[in-house]
Amino acid sequence: MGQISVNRVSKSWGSFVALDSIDLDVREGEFLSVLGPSGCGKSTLLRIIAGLEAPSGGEIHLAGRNVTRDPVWKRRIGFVFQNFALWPHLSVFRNVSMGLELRRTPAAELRKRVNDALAMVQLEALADRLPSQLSGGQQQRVALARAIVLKPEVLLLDEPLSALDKNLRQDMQVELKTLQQTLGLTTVFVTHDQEEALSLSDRVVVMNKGVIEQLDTPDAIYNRPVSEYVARFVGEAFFFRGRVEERGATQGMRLAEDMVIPVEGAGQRAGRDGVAFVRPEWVTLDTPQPHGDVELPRGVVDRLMFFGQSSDYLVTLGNRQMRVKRRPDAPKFRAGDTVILRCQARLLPNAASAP
Amino acid sequence: MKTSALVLPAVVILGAFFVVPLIWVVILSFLGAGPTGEVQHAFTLGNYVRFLTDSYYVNDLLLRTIRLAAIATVFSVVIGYLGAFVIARAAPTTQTWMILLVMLPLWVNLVVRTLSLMVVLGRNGPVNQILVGLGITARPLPLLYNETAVVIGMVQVAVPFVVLSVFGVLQAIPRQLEQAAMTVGATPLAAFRRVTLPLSVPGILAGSVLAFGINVESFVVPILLGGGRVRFMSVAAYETATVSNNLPFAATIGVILLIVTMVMLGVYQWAVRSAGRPATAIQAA
Amino acid sequence: MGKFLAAMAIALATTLSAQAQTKELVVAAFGGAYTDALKKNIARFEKDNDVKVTFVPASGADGLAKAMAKEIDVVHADMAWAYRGEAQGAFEKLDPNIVTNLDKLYPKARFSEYGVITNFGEYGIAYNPKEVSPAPSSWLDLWDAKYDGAVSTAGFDAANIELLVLMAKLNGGNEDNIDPGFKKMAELGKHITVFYSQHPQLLDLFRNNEVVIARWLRGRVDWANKQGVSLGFAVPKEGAIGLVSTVHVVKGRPNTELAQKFVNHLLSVDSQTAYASDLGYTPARAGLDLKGVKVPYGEEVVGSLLIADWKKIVPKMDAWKERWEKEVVAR
Repeated sequence: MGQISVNRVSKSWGSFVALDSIDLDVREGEFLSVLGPSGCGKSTLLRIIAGLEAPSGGEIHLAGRNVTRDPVWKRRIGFVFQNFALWPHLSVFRNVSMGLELRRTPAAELRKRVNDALAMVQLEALADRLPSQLSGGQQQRVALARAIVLKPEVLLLDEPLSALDKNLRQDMQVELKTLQQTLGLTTVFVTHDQEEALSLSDRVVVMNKGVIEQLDTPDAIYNRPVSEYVARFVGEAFFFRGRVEERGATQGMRLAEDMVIPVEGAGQRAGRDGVAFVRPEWVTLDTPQPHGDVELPRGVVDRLMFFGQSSDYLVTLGNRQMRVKRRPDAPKFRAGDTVILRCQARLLPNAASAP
Repeated sequence: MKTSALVLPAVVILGAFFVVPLIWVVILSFLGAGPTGEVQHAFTLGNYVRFLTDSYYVNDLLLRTIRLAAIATVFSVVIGYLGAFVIARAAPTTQTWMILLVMLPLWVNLVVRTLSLMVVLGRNGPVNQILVGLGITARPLPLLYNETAVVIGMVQVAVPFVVLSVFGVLQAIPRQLEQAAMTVGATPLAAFRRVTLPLSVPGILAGSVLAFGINVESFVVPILLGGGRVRFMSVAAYETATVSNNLPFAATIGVILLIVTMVMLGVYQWAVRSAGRPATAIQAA
Repeated sequence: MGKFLAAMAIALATTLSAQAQTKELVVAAFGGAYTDALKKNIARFEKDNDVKVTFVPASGADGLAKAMAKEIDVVHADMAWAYRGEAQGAFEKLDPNIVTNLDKLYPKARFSEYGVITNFGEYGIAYNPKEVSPAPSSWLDLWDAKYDGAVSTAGFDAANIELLVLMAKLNGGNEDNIDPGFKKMAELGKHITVFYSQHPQLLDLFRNNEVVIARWLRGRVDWANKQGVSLGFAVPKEGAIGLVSTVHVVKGRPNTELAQKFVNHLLSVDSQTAYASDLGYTPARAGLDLKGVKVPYGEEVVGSLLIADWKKIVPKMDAWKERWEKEVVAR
């Protein structure tokens, strides 16, 4: 059993099922992200772990203790709200110290622990300020300090970075990860930002309509998604549908009479219909040779999108458009050029999940 | 230029209907009255001396007025706060109905409302019937025509104003602030005391200032519920003008009530504001 | 069509000019049923004098203020406000050549050169016959310890001032020596739980048996009986206290003569009869035929009414009011 153990937890409001029998174990010291679009149930799950919401069924264990019936104030958690939820009438110091005051911590110890927590988020100098006198990033740090000062068994973060602008968000991601590793805190991080989830986490949960779609390492989630839903939600994906066929030692997918794309991945036997996908960086564009690669898919370059450190081609394939990462060593194409696509698409294990 | 032109009508209206009559009342309070009530145009401090050197006016009238208004304000704020809290925590559809229910009395004439309160509090009214029926008292209690009745009447008038001013403030406090307190170990009561209550101080302040202002100026309530025994400043001012026919002294009573009320409200605001901001109670070392 | 329009225009112009010539007389009265009774016979007066009479509800302080501001032509008052108005020079002398009906009044109705009493009401003792037996016969019955807590009177109003003066007189004082009166009234104050301020309030107190005996108006006791609260009304042997309505012509208005005529109209047989039949008040005019009207009437009735010397009282009212609060109301 992990530090956090969620057993068959359900939540419904009337006929609306927010969570459908969720099972989840979070290991001690692990950074686990819960990823999904709004309304998928990820925040509800986090609030049930915290005790801010009661489950309709199932059990929650924290550090081996069944806390399902414990109210939030008896669980040893740290919680960071999306909009920080700092107390506007209290100074930074008192925002952080309230938890210790409530535990009747002796004054000297209280002062030391609050100052340590503030030091950890580099806010010692602003202890006397009111939250309204702080920037967004500083407020975020106060919220973090407030959560960690109590040395919680678990740290629960509800989209804590979504209120910050992009640059600040990236800085805070690094800080957050460093802090988590320093303290060895078991952390559940709810987000709808897949890059954030992939870069910070030891493992990622992808949720969809109240169920866990996939739980795995960031690498596996990105490269070996179990469903079209996960593939689509995490990173950019372009899908192919067709019949899987053996092509010697490898597999291919016949997309049309004269078009086959090489595929890999277990789960689809030859002769069955399947779904495969590619990421933009998996594809190499090439100039079609008069007599070679006759069955490879062909497309027409629409334009090149320049992002600074990288650039993407927008390529029209049939009536769909896909994005292909431009390789520095590859020849340059212009709008209107016909190209062939060299790539190995990945077969999704379960055809039933295709729409 | 433009702004001042826009503000002008408001200034004119305020001046014509508030400031000018007020200045006239203040001037009047420094004049004398002849034997048949004619105002004598000669400066005198006599009216203030008469009021301030007579324990009847200071104790029986002024202090009683302030005491009853203050007691009624405390009850109004407590009851109004509880009401506002319940409404703020109710479902949105229920909320609309509850607010409507709170505002309903404001659309009924004050005299009519007070008269119905007389029926409720009367010797054979429902309150006494319940008290006697439950055996809490053997005989009907004298709930009418005394200070208690006046306080109840004032509370009845002021509570809706407190509810509305506190509700607005409570509504604007995100529930997450209380939840945040609970995540650091606060029970709901502690979370309320440490977060919601201090944050709703502006509402309490506005509500109590409004309630005290309304209560201290009460006229209909002490006349109808006081049974002629509960003397009140506004009633005394009115009777001094209409029965004694001493307009300058009536003006004096009004001015003294106004000054005392303003001073009290000033002190009260200052006290509540400084009590509501114990931010430096624990210093960062 | 054109002829028709022209005729219309002429008709309209005629009406407008006729209206423009009609004078207006503004009369301040007590309002409610009182004004309704005054309106009853007004049409003929308006027609005879080519005048439009407008009634505004104002009396007491308000009425005097309007008179001083010359906003009204005729004003109603009670004894106190009548003397105040007279002292402040608000009123015109009544002209006996126009107000010819002055001769027909009981002498007691002749207030002064500056005003006249139009009718009287009677304050006596209202009592619950089930609780008060035998019927009260003296004002002093209000003081009976039996009725401690169950006796009521109003606040410092005109009738209580009369009672105060009566008590002074019964105990060796008078308007100039009021101390004995206050001493006696202070004793009454100790028996009183509620000083009523509204008639419906006293009615409720009688209905709930919280009050069994009170100083009240005869007309109001009749009204209480109609409301299903059976009460008796006793005229004390010392005399009933007179409720007095005066009327005055305001000085410095353009239509003083019309105003004098209006006062004369109020003293006419029709108007005087209406005071009795519509309001239950005793008319000030002698020799009326009031058969079938249940109102006390006649020389003897009017003569026996207690009406103090208000000329002496008015300058003392401010002081008396303060004493009343301190000595009678305070416990």
